[in-house]
Amino acid sequence: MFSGERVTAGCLDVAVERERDLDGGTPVIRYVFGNRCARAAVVDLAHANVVGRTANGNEVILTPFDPKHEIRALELDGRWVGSETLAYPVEASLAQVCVDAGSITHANAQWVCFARSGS
Amino acid sequence: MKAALVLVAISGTALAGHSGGSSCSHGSGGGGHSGGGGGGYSSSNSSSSSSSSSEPASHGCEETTDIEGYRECMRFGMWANNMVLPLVFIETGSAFRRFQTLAGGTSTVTHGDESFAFRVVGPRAHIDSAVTWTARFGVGLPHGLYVALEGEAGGIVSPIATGASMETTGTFGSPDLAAQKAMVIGGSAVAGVWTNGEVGALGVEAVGGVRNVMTSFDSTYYDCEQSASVSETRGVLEVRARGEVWVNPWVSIGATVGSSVIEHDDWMAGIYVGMRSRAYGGLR
Repeated sequence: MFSGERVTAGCLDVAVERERDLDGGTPVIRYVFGNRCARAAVVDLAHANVVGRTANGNEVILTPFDPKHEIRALELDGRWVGSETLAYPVEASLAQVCVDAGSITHANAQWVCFARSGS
Repeated sequence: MKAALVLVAISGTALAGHSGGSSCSHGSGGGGHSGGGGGGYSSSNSSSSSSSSSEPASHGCEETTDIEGYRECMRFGMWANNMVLPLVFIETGSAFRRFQTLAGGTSTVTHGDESFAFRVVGPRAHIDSAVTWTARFGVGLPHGLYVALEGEAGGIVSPIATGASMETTGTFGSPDLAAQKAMVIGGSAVAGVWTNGEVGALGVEAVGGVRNVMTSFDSTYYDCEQSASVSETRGVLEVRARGEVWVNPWVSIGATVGSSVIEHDDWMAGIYVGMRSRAYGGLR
């Protein structure tokens, strides 16, 4: 279940994985998070720092596809686990996508980067 | 970073409903994973890992992807349901009670065309013992406070000391009434406060409600046998102390003792198992 790059940030164990892009090159990131603490921890996928890099080195700040405006910071109960899969629509073709896993729980930055997957 | 993650499914608890996910199939873009799922979690540095996430079916809804914004069955953040909703808890257990014999109730027993009124009488200051099954549903409040509704049902386990005093007579005198058994039913409202420790929690609470004792009698009037019952209800006001240990973050076992503040020789002791919708009752 915790496949991909694993990061411990605050109380959270976070696994971040880039899945196969959607048609049109929209990157898809799957997050799995487990709370190793007994108390609740913040999981803020709305404000997670996600950056895409094009082949020529330009950086693009990515925001998740959220047509229903559902994505928001929530609390994950102690000893609990959850997962979400988010798409990040972008017009440019991205060679790399980087996620600050620490920002998911408002902790110190811990970047993990992924090259284009699938296809 | 290489710490292995051990995921332990919380089995046998009522909390499975807080797990997200669905039984939906997953197609393009989903990578075969369920989205928005949740479940019990523990972490360790061991090298072994296993995973499980309960996935309740979404009625009549088939997912083709688990990507937020594209999926149709599950909304975002179902793994946080138990934090969005108020803390609730349920408990069930057993209690041993001692209380003064409830007497004074009246009833009638009918034999053929004749009815006989009788009154339940008992020795002065006699104490009954009862064993009851208890159940409680409660809601947590800020600062460790909680309120709950509690019910119990059981029976008198000590020899029944009550008898019947006939108040009317018939053509052939009065029936002979013998007490057979006595049932106990109670309902209470609870307000308390509890605090969490390393391995468990301690609490004190006030309990107010009613207790009903229904005594069944066999009535013999010549060769005619009938049965009758009499109910007696009293108010209950108790203070209790309770302590429990965590079996896992959502399940605890505990014991409680209490005493009436309005009756002499009226006390209880009980054991229970409790389940809470948040880890460690949300107290840590």
